[in-house]
Amino acid sequence: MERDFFKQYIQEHKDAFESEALPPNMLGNILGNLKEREERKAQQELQILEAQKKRKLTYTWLAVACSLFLIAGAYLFVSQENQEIKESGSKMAINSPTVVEQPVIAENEKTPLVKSSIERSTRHLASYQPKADPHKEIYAGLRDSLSVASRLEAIIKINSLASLDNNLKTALCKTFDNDGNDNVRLAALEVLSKFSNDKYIHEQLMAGLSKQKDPVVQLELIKIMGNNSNPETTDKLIAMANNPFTVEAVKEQVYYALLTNNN
Amino acid sequence: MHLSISINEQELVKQCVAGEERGYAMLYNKYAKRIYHAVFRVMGNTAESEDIVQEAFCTAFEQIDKLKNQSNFEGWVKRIALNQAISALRKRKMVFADDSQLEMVAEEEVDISEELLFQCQVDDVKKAIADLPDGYRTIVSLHLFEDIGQEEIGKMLGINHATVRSQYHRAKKKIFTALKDKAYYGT
Repeated sequence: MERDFFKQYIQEHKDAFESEALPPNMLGNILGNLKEREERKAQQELQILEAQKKRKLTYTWLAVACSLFLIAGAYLFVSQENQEIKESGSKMAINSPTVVEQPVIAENEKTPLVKSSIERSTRHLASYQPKADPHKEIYAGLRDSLSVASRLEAIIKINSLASLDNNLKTALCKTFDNDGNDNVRLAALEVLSKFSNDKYIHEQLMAGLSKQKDPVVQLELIKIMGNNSNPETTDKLIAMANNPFTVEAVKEQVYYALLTNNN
Repeated sequence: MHLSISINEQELVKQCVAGEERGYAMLYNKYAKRIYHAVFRVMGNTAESEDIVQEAFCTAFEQIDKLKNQSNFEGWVKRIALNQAISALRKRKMVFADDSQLEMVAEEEVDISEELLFQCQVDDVKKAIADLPDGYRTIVSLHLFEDIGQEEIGKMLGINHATVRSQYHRAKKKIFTALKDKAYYGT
């Protein structure tokens, strides 16, 4: 390999080539940048943790709702089977004495027997006729305090209705206000949001801004009510933002709603 | 002597891993000047070189726990900085031309005597290098000042090593021409 005397020249005079001073304050900038990056990193980690926590909470509720639904389903299945067994047992019990007693009955006593069988069949018919109140099942479902699944099912049924009568509105608003389960309240809120143009429902939703304490429900409610430029709604949103117990994420949603409001 | 320097550097790296500002400052003071000049020779621009050096040190300090050879902090940061400089040149839409198909320039064509070169002022050589086009200047800087082999330079720039070799000789010819002109006009 040939000797590169130019390279040798450069190596010998390298220090002279690097005689100029460094630009000032570079170290300060580097340290400042490092601090900034560390803070940003910590903030990102915190956000990820919060998101994970929230997701975990949602999964827990989902798991609870599913298990309750399964238990309720299993209970209904077992109880229905028991009822069927009982009914078949009672029919057998009824049938056997009638067969034995028939020859003994006097002719003048035959008429009431026919009557009673007619009565029985009418009673049967009546029991299979459709119920007069179509919302009876919904009310029963909403009242079922033991089963979250029943209450959710009732709300899903309400959701399929095109309009709500006053009683249903009241019942649904009551569920939204008082139900102990967040998922049920969220489902009720979702249905109510469809009818938020209704004056009564609108008032109840507005009242919910100060009543609801669960952050997930609060977030959804703000998303629904945030589009509204009503001064009362704005006051409630400001009150939420000023409340020290309001979660940061909810506060951010409130600020966003206030900023994007029509005001 | 070398052992003590190496131990000191390891100690400084450990301080940086622990997040101590003193460690950052000591390592910066020790190597920043050399790294800055290496980047400046490639970029030929003060502001961009400053940004690249700052970013390289930040990246290095952030990932210092990943440094395998703790006694070679300088080489590591310098490589980060030079890679960033090459990326910055690429962003300027600069293409490192791959002309491996072209006939190689014979070394004999460069006709400057060793004696004449060693009589030159460093500032003249510096100016002749700075006046080179970006691609030539990058290759000359990496090969002559950072002592990086032509094959490795080819990998860094994404071109054939024969291209690096031919461009290096052309760059050298240009430098010598500039130096000879300077000697001829006696300015």
